Amino acid sequence: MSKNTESVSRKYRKRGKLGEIWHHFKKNKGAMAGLIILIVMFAVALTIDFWLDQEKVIGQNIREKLQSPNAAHWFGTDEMGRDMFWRVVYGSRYSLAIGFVAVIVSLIVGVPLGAAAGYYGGKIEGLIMRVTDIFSAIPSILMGVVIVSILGGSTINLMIAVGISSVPNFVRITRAAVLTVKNEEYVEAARALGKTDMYIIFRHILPNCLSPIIVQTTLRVASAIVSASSLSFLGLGIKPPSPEWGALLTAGKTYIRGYSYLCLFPGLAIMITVLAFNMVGDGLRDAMDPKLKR
Amino acid sequence: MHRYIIKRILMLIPVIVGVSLLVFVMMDMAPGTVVDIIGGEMSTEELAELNHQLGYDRSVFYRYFLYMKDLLHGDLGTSFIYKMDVWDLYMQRLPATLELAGASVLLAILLSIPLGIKAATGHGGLTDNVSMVAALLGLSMPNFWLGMMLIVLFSNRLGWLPSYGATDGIKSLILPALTIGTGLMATLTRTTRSSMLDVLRADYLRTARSKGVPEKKVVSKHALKNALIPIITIIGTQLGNAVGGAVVTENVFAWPGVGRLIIDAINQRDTTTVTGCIIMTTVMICVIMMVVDIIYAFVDPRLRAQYASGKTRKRAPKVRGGEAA
Repeated sequence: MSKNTESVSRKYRKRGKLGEIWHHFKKNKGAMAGLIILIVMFAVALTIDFWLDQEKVIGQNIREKLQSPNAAHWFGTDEMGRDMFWRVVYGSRYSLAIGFVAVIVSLIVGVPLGAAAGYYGGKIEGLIMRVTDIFSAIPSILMGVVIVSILGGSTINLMIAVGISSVPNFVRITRAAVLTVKNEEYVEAARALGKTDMYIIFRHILPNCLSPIIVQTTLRVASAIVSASSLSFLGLGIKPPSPEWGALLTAGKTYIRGYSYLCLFPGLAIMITVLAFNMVGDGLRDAMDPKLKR
Repeated sequence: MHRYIIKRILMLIPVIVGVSLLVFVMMDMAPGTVVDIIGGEMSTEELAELNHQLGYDRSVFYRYFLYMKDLLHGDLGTSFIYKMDVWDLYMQRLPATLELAGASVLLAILLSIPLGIKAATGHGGLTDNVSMVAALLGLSMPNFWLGMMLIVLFSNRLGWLPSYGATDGIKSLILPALTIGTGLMATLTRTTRSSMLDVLRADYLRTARSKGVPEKKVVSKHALKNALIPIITIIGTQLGNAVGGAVVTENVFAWPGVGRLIIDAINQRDTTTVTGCIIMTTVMICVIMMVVDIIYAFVDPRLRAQYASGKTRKRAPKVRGGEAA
């Protein structure tokens, strides 16, 4: 019977907490605007292959090259006569995928390390944190450059490079969060019941550390998108003519004197995406932890 | 305080050892070596000779060991691409990076702190909302893109400012400093505002107001002084990041700083230069953070007392021991 009531009460409590967060989140206009932008972008990025003719993105038409923005080509055309609007729209696939996969990479590596450091303490903590210090002594963009040089410049490698270079952040944040809950009574109770460390970490500690990790994840997706496009811009990572936003900027750089719109729109696209993630991240932080609010 | 500074410097040693090992191993994993870059027209014997001379016929740890031996004598090694001492190379590029870092951080301090204070005191008002939206926009802009757009506007269209290089004095500094400064300003304005908001609610401010202290003085003297710690921390971090070289911005403006040197060195597999520059950057950041900690003590008497008490507590047993003897 007790098992039954436990599961029922947990269900209600969980729904209550999510409802609470949503209640606070939806009152924040900026965060809601960001959320709507992201939903639209995801819908477009996930379905674009079904409704857009590939020819519109890669099809060249030299006779229409380098046209300024007009009614037929909203964002103008590039040096090969390709329509910039559809290239920028199609580029959302790359940037969103890179942002998410990169952050998943850093979550997979960083969270267990941070949790182990915070939970075990002592020598394990010392070792993990010193290695983290060493990794973060190298600026993340340079770390990205070196990792891309090692792995070679492809989309997957770019994701790994950007992901690895933001691992230290997740280690630190997770460790700090674990430290705040590891001496709680429910952890002690679980230990007294003879549960394994693994079970305690994943079942009791991490679920109670989720807020800072989720907020950090949202904000990191934003910075991963910027890092990835910076690496593409430096000539590493994704190369033109792929319509990734950083690669579009690299391609447009050659024509920037006469045809600055080639660089204007991909950059605006990056900015709006990053802005949306930042607004949602800020909103989540305020909603999840009223203590942190302003 | 002395003890504290010495401790900070000693803590730097394992980081330097670790960072240089990490750079050596990672550069070794990257395909190609510096010999492949400079040895294009050499004969097989010459290549073998050069490989032997640079230690590329041995393991990466052997080369690392040789490097550390030199480093112990204060020698950062010689770059085989630039044919000069890495220390001299770094010192040649450092002024440009410092100039840019200083200008952009100064720009951020001058604009953000007043703006953040204004936003916090008029919480929920027009200035607050506008500056927070602007800060969020500034935070979301990719640096290199902002740089490109500034070049389009101020160099290509208006022709007011040069678009690249550092040869035109203050004129060539404006655009790169603005590019880096925008991101810094955004972060600093947000920090100032939230730190001020925390303090403005404090009881001692109500006390000050009820004593009849004019509002201007309440904000500038009582509130700001207590809100300064997080603001100083952020400024220190930003200065530290900027001193490492703004890799992408330096690339956009062809700015002759450390960031571009490191990128070029990575691409040419010039491990000595990469390691040397990253070690120097780590040292610089450590020094900046130390200065920040010392500034804390000046700003906050509580922290000053903490430093001082730490000192006396460590001394105390010695004194007592002396008495007993």
